Amino acid sequence: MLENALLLLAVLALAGVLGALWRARNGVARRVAPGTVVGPETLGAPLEAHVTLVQVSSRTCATCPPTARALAEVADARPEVAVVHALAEERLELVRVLDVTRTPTVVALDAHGRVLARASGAMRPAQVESLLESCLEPLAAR
Amino acid sequence: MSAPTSPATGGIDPRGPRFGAGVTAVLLAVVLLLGATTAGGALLAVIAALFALGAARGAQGTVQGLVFRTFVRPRLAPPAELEDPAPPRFAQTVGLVITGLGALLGLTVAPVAIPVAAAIALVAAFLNAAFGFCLGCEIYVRLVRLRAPAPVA
Repeated sequence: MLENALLLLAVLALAGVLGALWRARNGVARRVAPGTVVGPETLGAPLEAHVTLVQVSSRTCATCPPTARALAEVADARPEVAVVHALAEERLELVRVLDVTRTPTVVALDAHGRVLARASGAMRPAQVESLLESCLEPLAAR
Repeated sequence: MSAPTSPATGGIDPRGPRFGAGVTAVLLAVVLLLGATTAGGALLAVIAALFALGAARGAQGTVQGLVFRTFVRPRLAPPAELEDPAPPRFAQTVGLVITGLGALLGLTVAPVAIPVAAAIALVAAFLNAAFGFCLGCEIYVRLVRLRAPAPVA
């Protein structure tokens, strides 16, 4: 019984650590080494804006709708930013090209479809802002 | 291009599945305390049956969902927003597979399967209850990719 109780404590401690890591990682923007390019056919939408934010969602994703609202809130105030939504089940090629493994995944593309930055997990509006900042820097340097 | 799943009509109170996950986590903790015994396996089978209700009808259709609606929700303020029932239902299905396999193997050939399955399910249920972890967000796309492997170039 004592061993079982210790095992229970160890499992709960592990879950607590995993949860803290998971929460800290969600929505954090990562700059991406240049290379991956997403064309309009793969995306299923034209690339007309200076920066296009692509949100890949799925039907079993509870954090996708609030993340979509955060993207809309930020993009509505910035005419140079467009938002495109894709459902992973329907856009498998896009999922593979972007190597999406969890939802929501948000990827920032420039007007040529080059991937500039990405984030995954639930995003707050402030995190969407910092995702945009992290990809506007390399654009300005070009 | 499609908008992400929206809770257009008939969404559920997102606090319901989290409350249910808390109840499930307590039950799974008891299984871990009972260990690789017949009693532990029996309780794990009961938990699997609870998950089966959720897999068939959604988290709001489980016993925990009924307890939430009857005793907990009347004491809470109305929810800030409603949620699509599909994500928690997917998590219930994953829970059914893990605890069902654990009970089946544990009560027949390998008793160690009882604490192993209970530990895995407990981590997921605890993360759901305490952190709002969404299993469907994390593993569904991987499953979809496995089911439809990339075409060989």
